[in-house]
Amino acid sequence: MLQVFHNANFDLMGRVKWPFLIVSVVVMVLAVGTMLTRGFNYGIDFAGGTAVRVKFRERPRVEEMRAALERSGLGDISIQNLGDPQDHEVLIRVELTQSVAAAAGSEGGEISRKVVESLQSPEWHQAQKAGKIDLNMITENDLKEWLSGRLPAGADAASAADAGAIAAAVVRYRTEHAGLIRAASEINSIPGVKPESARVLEEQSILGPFTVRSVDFIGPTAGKELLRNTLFAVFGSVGGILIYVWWRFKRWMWGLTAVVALVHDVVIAAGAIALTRKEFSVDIVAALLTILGYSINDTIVVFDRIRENLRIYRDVEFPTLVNASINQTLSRTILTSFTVFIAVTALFLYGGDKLNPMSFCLMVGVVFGTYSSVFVAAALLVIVYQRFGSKYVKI
Amino acid sequence: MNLELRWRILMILGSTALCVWAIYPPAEKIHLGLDLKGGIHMVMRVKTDDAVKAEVDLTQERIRSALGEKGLAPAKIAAEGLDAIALEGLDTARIGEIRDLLTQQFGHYVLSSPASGRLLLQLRPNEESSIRDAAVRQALETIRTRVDKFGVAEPTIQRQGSGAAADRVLIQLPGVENPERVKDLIGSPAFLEWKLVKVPPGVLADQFRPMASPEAVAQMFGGKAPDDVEILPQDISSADGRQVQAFWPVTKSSPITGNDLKNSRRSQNRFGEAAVEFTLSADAGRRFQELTRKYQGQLLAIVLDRKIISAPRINAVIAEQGIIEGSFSLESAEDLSLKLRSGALPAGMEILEERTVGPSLGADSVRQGVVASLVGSIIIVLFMLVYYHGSGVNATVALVLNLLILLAAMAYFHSTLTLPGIAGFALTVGMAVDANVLVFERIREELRHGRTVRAAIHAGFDRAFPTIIDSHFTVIIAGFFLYAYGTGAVKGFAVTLNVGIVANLFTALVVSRAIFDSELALNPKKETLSI
Repeated sequence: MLQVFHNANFDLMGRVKWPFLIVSVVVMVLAVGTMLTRGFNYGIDFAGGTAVRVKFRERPRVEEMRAALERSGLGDISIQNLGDPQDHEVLIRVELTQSVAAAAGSEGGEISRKVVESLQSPEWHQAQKAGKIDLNMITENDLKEWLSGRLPAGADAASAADAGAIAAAVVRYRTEHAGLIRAASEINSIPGVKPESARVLEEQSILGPFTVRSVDFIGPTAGKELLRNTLFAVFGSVGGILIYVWWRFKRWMWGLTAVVALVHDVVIAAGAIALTRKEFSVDIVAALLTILGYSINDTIVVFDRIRENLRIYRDVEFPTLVNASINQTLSRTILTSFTVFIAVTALFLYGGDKLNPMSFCLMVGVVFGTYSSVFVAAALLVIVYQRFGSKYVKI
Repeated sequence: MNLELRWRILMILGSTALCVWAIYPPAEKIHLGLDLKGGIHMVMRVKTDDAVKAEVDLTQERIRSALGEKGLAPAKIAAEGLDAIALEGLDTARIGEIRDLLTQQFGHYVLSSPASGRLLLQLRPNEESSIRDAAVRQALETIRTRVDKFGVAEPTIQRQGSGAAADRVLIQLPGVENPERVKDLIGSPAFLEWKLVKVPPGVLADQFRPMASPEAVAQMFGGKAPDDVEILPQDISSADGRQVQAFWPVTKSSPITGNDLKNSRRSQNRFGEAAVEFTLSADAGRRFQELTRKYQGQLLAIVLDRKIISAPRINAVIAEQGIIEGSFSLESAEDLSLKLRSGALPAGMEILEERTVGPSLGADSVRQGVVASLVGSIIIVLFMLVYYHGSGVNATVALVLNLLILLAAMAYFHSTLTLPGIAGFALTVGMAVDANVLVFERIREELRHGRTVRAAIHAGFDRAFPTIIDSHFTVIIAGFFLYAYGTGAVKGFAVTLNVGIVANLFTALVVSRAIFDSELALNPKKETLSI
């Protein structure tokens, strides 16, 4: 039989608990310090502003992009590479400021249009003036309308149905290839596009240097409300869990130590986000709340066992009993966290850049959640017993 | 095998079949969120202040005429703040009569007298909130009509928020890619007015040209435009292709408005250029006929949302039908006629949030999310099989069923699967085996204490039960708050997390146990357990 620990019998609640507890305090202080000094890298969910996600055919020249964007007077701009370098994908963020709002006519769509236009090359602008379309930017509907007057008669009858079918085929191909047609030679190979119509497309369209993958605009009021809702959700959850654990274990001290461990996990996970400068978005809020709900599981496993043992071994010293309970449940404490850790690590590695900050936060939370169930929650119970006697902890 | 166990197995198989039925075919039954499917998500705020202001403005006019009829017109009547009207310079001798008239006819205002000869009418708060509420509801209706006519499949148009934030409208349009056009279509009030151009004295209508600035127009009237005239802009392209504005003096009153329209459609003028054709209601048609007869040869401005579209010369008497010319493209003519058909918005709209996801990004997200979930699941299943041997199969069955139930519940409740929702799936996979681990470890422990297989299984489930309930319940507490306060895609995460956790209780406690019990029933003298 495979077993993480065979008859584990570590002395965890003796003097050794102090260094661990001190580590916890230090890490927490560091986490809070990081949050206060470095602050969070708030995403536009919270900060407001415009984010345009763009994928290029070739390696994007960030400095040139920055210069072009600054020329168009968009104010504070940040450009961030997304995913692997060979993805050629960047996120352009324009801060929400008074001057930007005034310059761009106060609406988000205006700003994103301006971003896109200033990123395009002079050749692109020329082609637009000449009435050529950009196959990497045009929508299916527009392509259909554009095509309906241009298809050659004969093999491809210039009927609306044909234009629709070809537009659909081109857009489907583009969607399946990350939104980009990279070379003119690809047009010929698109299933459903006959050579005659491919020639029309090749001659009268250009392949723009990039495609816009998403555009987000968040106004100034949304962020404030989100922050308020986030605080409600966090405090509501902590309060709810405190009351539940208190009710289940009949002693408020148990609820309190469990919640201290919980706050410890969440603070450290949030500190890790601040430290790594990962974007703080609503997804991170979701991750933090999940940590709130989940990291207490290990604590509950330990507490349940302590309660059970308290009923059986009435004359065993409390610290010894807590230590025994921890050892008895050590395998499952680690195993349950391990399986969740696998799941979130897979998300971290393969889930793409959007899920990356969230899964990172969960990874940190799961690890510290396991640690804190032993070295914070249980250790605090023992310390309370040693300082104040049994009246707060005995059931 | 006893009867009770048979029923249990039958129930499990039945619910499995039900789940499969609920999610088949998955492409239709599982609704993908906009972040996975691509489309536009918008949160707009109805500027309900506009509607309150419109009511106060209208009442001012009505007070003016009501008092004027009796020869009691005040020297000054003006809005005070947003929701009050101040009357000044009243005839103090007849103040009682004035008060009686105002309380009688304008009961939805509270009348007070802050100083002698001055009266203040304050819009009642309940009246004001019902005006705001009506504005939001009407805006919702109008937007719905416009989106329907535009032809978007499965749009979501909902009122959002509560209390002071009850002026939000959520609009989700799957598969729509060009936000500019949609935004204009949804967000512009489309309030159409016909106003006579007030040519300055001494200028012939035919010779009048709009000016480059409002001041220049005012100058033509000798520095200040008359009280019944307002100056409105027109967007035009100058000779070198730049966008500039030209300003026209027009009457403040609008004899005909968009409310008088019966129908409108895209059409073309005699040069074949795109235009909008309209039909007026019978009553408005008569008024239009009168108007065009009376003012033949003058200019009639067509004003949309306080901007002049065009100001043609009235050449003939027009009754119910006419066309609006301007520099329209096919698309903009189509959109304008659609907006006019759907009616005007009662107030302006402000965009609070706008997210557009292209279809290629959505497809990539789905692929990555599915790969990550599969990788996680496979490693977890392998781990459970290696670590718990035969009982690992047990956990695997529970895991698969868990995911099946989760999908079925989402299909049944029409929840949308978002990208964070996929993360919730992966997390559910990790948590799904937690309960199994708790039970298996307990069974191992009981076996070590020398219990028989049967007793160990029973004790394992019974003793792990409270722990499992406790640990699941705390996740649900957090999940509840996440759902209650989360927005958009995060709500999707909360849904999968919560449903996954509940499904997990069923699979870990009922399904896994039934498998153990069947093993025992098939082999009552079982002495070893593969765990």
